[in-house]
Order: sequence, then C-alpha cells, then structure tokens
Amino acid sequence: MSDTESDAQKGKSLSDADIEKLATLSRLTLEQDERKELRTKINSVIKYFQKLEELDTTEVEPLSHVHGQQNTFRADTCRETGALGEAIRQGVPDRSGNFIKVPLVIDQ
Amino acid sequence: MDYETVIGLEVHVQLSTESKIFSSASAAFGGDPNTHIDPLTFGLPGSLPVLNRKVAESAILLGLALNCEIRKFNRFARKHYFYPDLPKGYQISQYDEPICEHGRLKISTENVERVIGVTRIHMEEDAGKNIHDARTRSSLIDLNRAGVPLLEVVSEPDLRSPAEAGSYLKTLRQIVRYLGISDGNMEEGSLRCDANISLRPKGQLKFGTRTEVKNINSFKFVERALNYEIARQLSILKGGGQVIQETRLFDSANGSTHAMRSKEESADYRYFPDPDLPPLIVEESWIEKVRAGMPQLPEQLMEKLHSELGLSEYDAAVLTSEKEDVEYFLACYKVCRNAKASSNWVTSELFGLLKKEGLSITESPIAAADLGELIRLIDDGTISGKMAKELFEEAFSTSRSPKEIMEERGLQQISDEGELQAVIAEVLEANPGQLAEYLGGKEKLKGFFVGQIMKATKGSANPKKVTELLDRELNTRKSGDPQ
Amino acid sequence: MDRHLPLTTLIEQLGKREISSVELTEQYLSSAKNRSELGVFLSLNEEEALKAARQADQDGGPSEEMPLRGIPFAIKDIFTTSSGVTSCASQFLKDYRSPFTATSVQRLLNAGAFSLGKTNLDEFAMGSSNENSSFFPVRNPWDEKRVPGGSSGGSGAAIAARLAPVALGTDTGGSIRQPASLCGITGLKPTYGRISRYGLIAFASSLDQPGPMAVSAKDCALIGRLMAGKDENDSTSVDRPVSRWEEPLENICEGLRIGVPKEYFIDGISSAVGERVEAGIQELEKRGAQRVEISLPHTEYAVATYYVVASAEASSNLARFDGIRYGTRAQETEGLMELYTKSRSEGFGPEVKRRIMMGTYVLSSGYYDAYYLKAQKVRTLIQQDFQKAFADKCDVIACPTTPHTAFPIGEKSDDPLQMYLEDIFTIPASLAGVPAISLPCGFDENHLPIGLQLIGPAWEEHRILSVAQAFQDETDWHLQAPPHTPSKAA
Repeated sequence: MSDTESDAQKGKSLSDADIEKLATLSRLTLEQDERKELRTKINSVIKYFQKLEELDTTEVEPLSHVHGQQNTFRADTCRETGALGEAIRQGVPDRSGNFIKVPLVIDQ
Repeated sequence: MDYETVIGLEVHVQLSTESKIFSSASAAFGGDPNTHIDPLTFGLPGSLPVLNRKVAESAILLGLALNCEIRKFNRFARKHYFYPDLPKGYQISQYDEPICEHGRLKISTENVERVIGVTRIHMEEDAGKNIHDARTRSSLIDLNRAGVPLLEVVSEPDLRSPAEAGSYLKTLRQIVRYLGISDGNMEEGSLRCDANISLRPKGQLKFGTRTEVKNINSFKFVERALNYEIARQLSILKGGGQVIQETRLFDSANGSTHAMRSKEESADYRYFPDPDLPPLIVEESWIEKVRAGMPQLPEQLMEKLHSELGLSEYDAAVLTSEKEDVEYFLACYKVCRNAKASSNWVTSELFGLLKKEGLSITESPIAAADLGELIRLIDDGTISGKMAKELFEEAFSTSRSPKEIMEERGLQQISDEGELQAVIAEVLEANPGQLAEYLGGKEKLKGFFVGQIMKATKGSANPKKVTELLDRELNTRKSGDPQ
Repeated sequence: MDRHLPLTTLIEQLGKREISSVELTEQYLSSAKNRSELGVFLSLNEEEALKAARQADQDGGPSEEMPLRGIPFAIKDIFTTSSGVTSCASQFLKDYRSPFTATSVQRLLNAGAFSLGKTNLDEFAMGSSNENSSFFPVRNPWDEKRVPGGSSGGSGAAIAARLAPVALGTDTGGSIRQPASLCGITGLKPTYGRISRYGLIAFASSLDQPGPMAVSAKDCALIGRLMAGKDENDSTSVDRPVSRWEEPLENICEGLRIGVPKEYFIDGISSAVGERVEAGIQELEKRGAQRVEISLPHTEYAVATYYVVASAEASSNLARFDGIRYGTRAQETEGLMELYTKSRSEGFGPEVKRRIMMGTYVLSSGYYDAYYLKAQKVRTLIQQDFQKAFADKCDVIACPTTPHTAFPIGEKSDDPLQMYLEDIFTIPASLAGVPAISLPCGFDENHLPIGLQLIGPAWEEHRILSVAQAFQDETDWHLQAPPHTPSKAA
C-alpha cells in the first residue's frame, strides 16, 4: 500500500524530531516530560513489534472481516431525520445559525 | 523547439442517489445547512457506515460504459487528514483496489476521433462545504454534502489539447446522464474536474513536470484554464526555466491560475482498509445483470439514427447530445415513421420555441407523440406544411394537441378529388373570360385560378392536389374535350 | 458469609412478586452511593430508574415478551445512550449527549430492563486496570487498594460489590474477561460480529465486542443472547440465529474434549492461579470431560499483533475527536491548527495519546506493509491455530484468564515483557474472533479471585456457556461476594 522502506528504517528508534512529526500528524501537543516518556515507551514497543518479522507470511492472506463477511448493503432509501437532526445540531459547541463555526480556514 | 501538451483529467461524478453512500441521510443537493444529516454524517461516536448498494451498481454501470475491467474483490480504505469539512477525520475511499480499471473513452474533437484511456474509477464519499466569513474571521461549515457518493474517474494522460479535454469532459458528462447516475452539472458541482497538465518537447517520451489545476467549475472554463496554463508553462520553458510541480487554482475572474500556498510537507494519508466495511465482492453474474439493464449509450444511439434511420451524422449527433432529446425524437418517430421530418421539427421548430420560453424538452407543452401525429397529417396530405407550422405554434402556446386544434377548426386540407373538382369547375365557370384567355395562351393565368380556388375553399384546399387536378382539367379543356 | 444472588434468581423472585423492582432499584442506588469510594459509577440514572421500576411493578414484572421487565442494569460508559451523558471516561466527552442509543443497549431496554447508570472505565477502553479513567480510578471490592482490572473495571466492580445485577462491558483484547477474573465474577466476550457495535464508541473496530458481566454464566447467557443478532446499522454484524444460551445443552461435559494449550503454561503465572485453574479443569473432568494437550503455535506473536492492529485502528477511530461538531472544544485558540491540537491534547489522557501516536506511527508512510499488513497476516495464522485445534483436537479450550490476581493501584508495570504476560491469555481469542468466557474458580492466599477461561469455536457461545453453567452447578466460587457488601434483598 505505501512505499517499501529499507530494513534499516524499520525498527529503528524514533528521535525527538520523529516524535514531533508524529505528534503533528496526530494533532497532539506534548509537554517536555510527556515527550520523553512517550519516546521511551514507543521505542520499546516498536522493538517488540520486530518479533513479527520472525514469521514468513508470504503465502498468507491478510484478514479482512475475521469471519469472512462480505457484501453488506443497504437499499438506497432516505430516512427522515427530524428530531434526530435537531439533537445533533444542538451538540455543536459553536454555531452560527445552522452552520458549524470554526476559526477561519486559510487556503482550502 | 516545438512542445506537445499532455493532459490528464480527474473527474468527480456526484451520484444522484436518494441517500448518501454510507448512511441513509438525504443526498439531495442544497437544503438548509446541516439538515441532510444523521450520526454518521457528523462522525458521532458510535456511528457506523453501511454501503448503499446503488452506489456499487452505479460504479459497475459506469465501468461497463467506459469499457473497464470490473474488480471482483473490492475493499474500502480510510484516507486520513484533518479538516473541518471531513467529519470523521478520514474519508472512506478506495486506494489500491479501485472497482474499475483499464477502460477507454472515445471522443470526437472537430471531427477527429481519438480513444482516451481511463486509468481507474473508484467510489468515495464527498466532504462537506466551508464558507469563509472573513469579516468574523471564521469559517462556517455545512455537512449536507458530507457523505454524498462520488465516483472518481481518472484518465490516462492521453489528452493532447484543451479542446480534447473539453470533449472528454463533455462525453463523460453525456454518458453519466444517459446512464441516469448523475446530473453531470458542473455549476452545481455534480461534475467536478481537476486537470493535470504538462508540456514536453515534441517527440520526447518522458513527461514534463506537471501542475495540477483545480477550481474549474464550469465547462466554459476548462479550455480557458488549460490554455492559460499552457501559455504560462511555455513561457517558462522557452525562457530556459523549470516548471514547478504544484497545485494551482483557476481564477475565473481573470482567466489565470495561481499557485496554492504550499503545504509544509506532503500529506501522509495513512491509508488502511476500513475495518467497519466488509469486502465488496462483484461476481460475474452481478456484472451481467447490470449489463443487461444498461440503457443505450449515446454512441450506440447515434449509430442507429445514422445507419438505420438515415439521418446525417450531424443530425444524429445533435439529437443524441442529451438523452431526453433523443427519447423525444424516438417517441415522435414511433408515431410518424418519418425520421428526417421528426429530426427537423425537433431540432429547429421545437428547440427554437423551447429556447425562447426557457423550457427544457421534458417541459415541452407538445408531447412527442402529438408532434409525430402532426407530421403524419402533413405526410398524408391532411394539412399543408404551412398550416402545420401554425398549428404547432398554437399547440405550443396552449398546450393542446395540434390535431385537436385542427379538428376543432376544421382546418383539414381538402384533398378529396371529387370535392376539389367540383370547386375547380365552379371557379372556371365563374371566370369564363379568364378561361378563354388561358386557353388562348395566357399560361400564367393558372395562378389566378389557383388563387380563386384557394379563396373559395378558404385556404384549406391541398395546394398540390389543386395544381394536379387543375392541370388535368385545363389540359382536358385545351385539347378540346367537351365540358 | 455474603453471597451473590444471580440475575436469573432475581428475575424469578420478581416474577413471583417476592421482591419488587422498586425495592431492588432503591437498594442498588443506595449501595452505589454508599460505596462511592469504589469509583464504580460515573453517572447515576436515579430518577428515571425509579420511574421505570415503578412502571415495571405496575406492568407485572418479567414475562415471555419482556423477560427483563423490572431489572435495572449498569452500562459501561462507552455505550451511547440517548438519555444522560456518554463520557468514555474522557474529558473530551464529559458533557457529551448522544442523540441515539446503542443497539445492544436498546435491545435490553426493549426487553424491559432499564439503566441504573453508566460505569467507569479506562478512557476510551484503553487500559487493563481502570487507572486510566480521566475522572477517578475504580477500586477492587475485594481489596480497595487494588485494581479491578480494565477496561470494564467499573462494570466488574459493580457486580462484585453488588451495585447492579448485571453490567455491560466491552472486550477488545480482554477488557471484559480480565476484570471479570480480577473481580471474581463471570464475563462473556461473544464471537466477533455476534453483538452489534452500533453505538459502541469504537476503539479497535475489528476486535471490539460488547458483552455481559454478571454473577453467573446463566446470567451472561440470558443477557448475551438478548443483545445478540444481526443489526442493519452495523456492517460487521453477522446474520446468524441465536439459540437460548441460558438453557444449557444437556450432558455437555460427557466426552467433552478440553484443549489445554501448551504455550499457555509458561513461567510467570502465579502458583495460586496455576493450582486453581488446574483444579477447575479437574472439576470438569469429574463430570466426564477429557483433557487434551494442544498447541497454538503462534501464541507468542499474539500480543505484538494485537498492539499493532489495535493501536492503528484506535488512532484512526479517534481522529474524529476534534471538538468541532461535539465534545469539548478548546477555548481561546488562534486558528484552526491550534483548535485541533489544543482540543485533542486537553481532551485525551496520556495513555490515549500514547496509543494514538503508536497507531499513527504504525500506519504512517512506509510502515503500513511492515506493521499493519504484516500483523493482519499473522492474525490469519493465529486464527488458523484455533480453527485447527477445534477441528481436530478439542471442543473447548481451558486456560487461566490472567496470570496473576489483582495488583495494587499504581503498580502496573511498563515493561513490555510484563505487559505481554498480563494479556497473553485473552488477546489470542480476540484476534481469532472466537467467543470466550471467564468464570471464578477460586482465590489466592490473599483471598483475591482467580478466573478460569473457556474458549470456544466461532459461534459456539451456547457450548461454552453450557460448560460454564455445568461448572457453576458443581461449584460456588461465583456466588462468593467480597466482605462489606450489603446484605441480600429481603
């Protein structure tokens, strides 16, 4: 699904900069001490993931639905929303009429 | 150095289903903001997607129409990015397993036919809409459109001119409308187009650096935007510079493109198969069923009109431009069996009046069958062409059938030989002087007699018949047969 | 000594008018308030519960069509309910009101039951000690200085402390079974796809399952099968008939082949756990079962597989929490980026953030093949281990639920090897999507409960519940309640 990466990259420990990138990608900010702790924990878990490399899975299909479920559909019918729609709109933290309001989005 | 243009188009077709792709909220266009919603549309915790079967069928339909291979084992993928109009923080799409691949579309640009490759078609959900309110420094989000089904159609970079791009788009639009899966309306956003365009020295195989052009929201802007971009890239290259790979937005106000503010890093969408949606398996039997129910496509109909019904290629093309037009034509033809006349009446008379009144053909006050009947009345001599035109116009403005008006006013042409001969005899008897002059050689007096006959019948004599019978009568008298 | 009253007994008593729903409900509500130091409930549904109880008494108690009429139940605060708050024990959702009720909950409401309140959990179901609630931790009623297990710790403790006759939990990698084991109660994780996930706030979509936690296997059987069945709102729910699980299959233990996985008997299991589980298996042998040694060769890869899959799916499922459309939005933010990061950073606790980052890493560009794709392939191998064992060798699998009994609050280790040991018995069944139940089988030297786990083939809840019911016919571990529980209803 994505670029193959070198074996050297896989399993290598994450640097502070890597953690920073991950945090941005996840839309999270970390305090200094959080960052340190996180980095240690993530790195030890990543090392643990390498265990999966011991297995040869070239002939193995990845799991989709664990029990082989396929083709679940619904008919093209529209369900009235009414009161449900109103309840959903009520939950919006900042509204302008029916619109959801957020700080200005620059450069769509 | 001569440069060649290389264009590829990414077209998003918004499907005209009742409900959204993964939820039963309404997929209708417009509506008060945030009213076509349900828990999934808002990405509420605990909500789950369920695939709308009609979307899969529409994808198969379009795939068949574009001669694609239809994939058997399909999955949906989550494409992650954070943006206020994307309620779940990811878009459900298809990534490396699109439902259709390796198709082709035949286009005709200024009578030159070419086949354009279609790389892939995949299903995905639409995002909501942002409205920027600079005054309050806020953005207003409407999620009505979030979750509406889209088919993304990606072409091979086979197009070689903006005109071809326009042609491709027009043909694709025609097909989705014929299939009945989308309105294909660029202004309303049910057909959206992004273009990838690059230049390369003629003869070079390697592609040049391409730019992506977005925000082309009308057919008339397609060629303008692309022409601008070609000129821009050409001037860079001719000046020895390099084209920067970037995304540019088309500005319809001045017909130019400008670069989007570049993002810090290219997006990492973290695609993976959506675990909430089991795989979609498309068996051969399903494909065959869809194929069997497929409506006729413009190309097929055009061919039929030309070879079977004898219309010119030009007329056939005009009529098949819109599905509703050819349907009207065929319904009219069914009644009168006169293809040429039907074509003429529809494309000049009917189109003319419809345009004047701002009506679409489906809103025509004259039904196709009634027009067919009118043509039949001309063909069997009941009325004259001139009379037909009058009846047509009156029928159009009163929404009544032409035949009805004709019968009511007794406007049928008189074609009955016995009846006409009686009138001819009367007229000749009433004008002995002119008759004598005619028989003496003043041939142009025939027109006078015709005039008198028409007057006597209040204009409803069949002129052809009158001429025929008058000639016969005058010849008889000329040759000296007794009266 | 104080003893539990199973739900099924209460239903009988209600039916015979020996107790009233109002009495029952008042008792649970007052116990909940008296034992608030346990941290079990995040919200109590007091007024509505009493109203429903009064109505139930009027309507005549349980019947064929309404088998749970008059029965109050506790709901892990990860199930959406259209009345009250659904918080997931998170600051993000602390005031969140869902406009719809989870299908699995609605089915119980339709059967006549009503909500007592929402129970505490590890935030967004991430954790196995209920120390990760953003509000307060839950304490084990057997020893209040110890954890009840997690993530369904509130529900587990609720049953143990007799604050509800049945509680709903969710199990992704053991979150029903492990707290059931540590709290000395019975908890069922059904086959994946058996119970609808609609309205279950998603952690790992391909693993999550709702399930009942109660005093006895029969209780779990009844509640489980009332919740089970195809739901058109959940594409992953499977259309299969549901039999009456609470009516055990006859003579189930005769000739029953009990698979004992050799990979599960490792160093690090406490001796008490080893002894009691062995005694439990012997108990079943007494009734005609035969033990068979089996091998589940890919067991050692299960935990790594689970962490890759679960964190990836969790990071994705939590991307929707941004404070824009619902939930807690950060104030005073400059621009959109800050709105996202501040809302998310303030809304999520540290464990949740950790798992999101982990999941983001695992899915990020260049790593999909190495991690997620690989893990999903290993998962196939793990599932095949179970399928082969059940096809050729055994009818059920028996093993410990956890290697230890409840550990002290604050003492949970971060050492991956320790983590591995804690989860190794529950995770494989989750990955394989097969049903599993934990039932009490004794105590250790500190009088802390020990759980015996029975795992069955896919869709064979009836089988494992029948074995569990047979076990509980002969033993009374499941009826033993911790001290300080209020005396039983009159």
